[in-house]
Amino acid sequence: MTRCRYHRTTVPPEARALFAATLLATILLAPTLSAGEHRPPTPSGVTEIGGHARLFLRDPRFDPMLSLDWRFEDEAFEFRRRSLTAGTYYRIHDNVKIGGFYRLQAGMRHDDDWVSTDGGGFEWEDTRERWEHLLIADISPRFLFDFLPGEDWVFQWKNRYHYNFFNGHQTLQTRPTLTYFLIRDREPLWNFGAGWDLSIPLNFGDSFIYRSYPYLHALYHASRSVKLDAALALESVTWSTSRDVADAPSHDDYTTTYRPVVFTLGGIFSVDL
Amino acid sequence: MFFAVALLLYFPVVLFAADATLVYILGTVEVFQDGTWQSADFGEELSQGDRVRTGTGSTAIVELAHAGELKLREESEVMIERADAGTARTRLTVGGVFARVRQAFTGVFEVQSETVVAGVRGTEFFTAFGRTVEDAPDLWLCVNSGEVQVELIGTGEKRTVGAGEGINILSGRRLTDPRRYRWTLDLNWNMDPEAGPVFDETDLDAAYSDLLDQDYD
Repeated sequence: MTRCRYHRTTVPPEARALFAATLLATILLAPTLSAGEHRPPTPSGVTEIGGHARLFLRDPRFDPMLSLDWRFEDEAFEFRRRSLTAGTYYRIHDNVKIGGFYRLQAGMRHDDDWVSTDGGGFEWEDTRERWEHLLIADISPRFLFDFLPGEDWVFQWKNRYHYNFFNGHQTLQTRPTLTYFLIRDREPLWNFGAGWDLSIPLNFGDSFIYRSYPYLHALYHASRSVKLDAALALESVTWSTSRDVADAPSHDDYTTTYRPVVFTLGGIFSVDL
Repeated sequence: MFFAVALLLYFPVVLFAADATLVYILGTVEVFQDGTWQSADFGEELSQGDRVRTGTGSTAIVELAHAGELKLREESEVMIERADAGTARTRLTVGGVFARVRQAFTGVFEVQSETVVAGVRGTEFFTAFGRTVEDAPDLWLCVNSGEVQVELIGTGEKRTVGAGEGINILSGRRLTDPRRYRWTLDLNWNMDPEAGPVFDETDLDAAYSDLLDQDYD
């Protein structure tokens, strides 16, 4: 009888092994999961798609520009980030252009947008309808690298200072690029380039590089006034401790990096003044 | 491989005889006569076979009697091939030249170079050698008023260049499509010293795509 009861309550060896493994995993991973709950998620293998439409007015010295940019982001492919940039470049030297721009943007995520919820957790604040105003100053030296094979190479080092009136963030964006121009009948037909765009936070964040954006770029000159371009980038965005997390004493500070692959398509239109 | 370039302006009736005269000189201007280059003088008359050249920073205006005027850019050279009542024919060998045909002239007005033939049906145009990217220099032609018909001798291919348009004849052998070029706005068409400066400072390098002037974002 006893023996019989004993047999009915016995757990099969496979189930016991599974239970033990689950228990062990829970014990081992519990601190990690607990610590990770207060950090922004950084899923891997995410592909995002961006786009832009730009209009340049071409004058011998001034090049006014209007740019619309947008991006479908995250695993959910959410249409969140979009911006309108307007301003002008001015060629102060054959090898140097400067520029001043105003930008209106929405859907951007900043460190402090990782906010606490009523349930004690954290989530990204919905910023899709939060409009921000920025001023941008640009200085971009460029040089003909005609000593390279094919001769029609240009090295450009774009530098931009961003001031965001929404949160006072100041950012220095710097981007070396090397572009090869495929010339047909004395006119560019294709551009092939590589660049590395780096955003350095000047008054926020805990990392020296806030955003890293190495990319490959191709541009087709469909006509003198219409160009189509595409780029593939490996983006890295480093989030630092948000204000809400810092205000919660039970959570440690963090820096965590989100690394999506970004594919961008766009059209660039120009009109001679 | 040589072709002949001629910029032709045809009119049905010959009204005047034509002699060539140097009516404006700025800087170093020389005339090739009797086998030697000599400093040119204001008012100097030129005859068939004479050549005129300008140095750096120099310019000259040649009046082709009743046909019209030629203004030589700096570092340019033209030869007076024919200058009579019915025909004004010059050959551009170096640099660039502005040509203006008088409304009253109804003869044949030609500016030739070595690569292409172009028939001019207008009153004011500019032609100049450009960069040598391949084996022969490009030839630019821009029209200020009227129109120009450009024809490749070798193939018979033609293009009509309208007022305000320009065309680049690549290596003198391939026609591009005429279109407006921003750099042509800088051309100084003035041939009247009393109306203002006649020296043309246009940088012909501006005729080519400036790879340092490309912005995409």
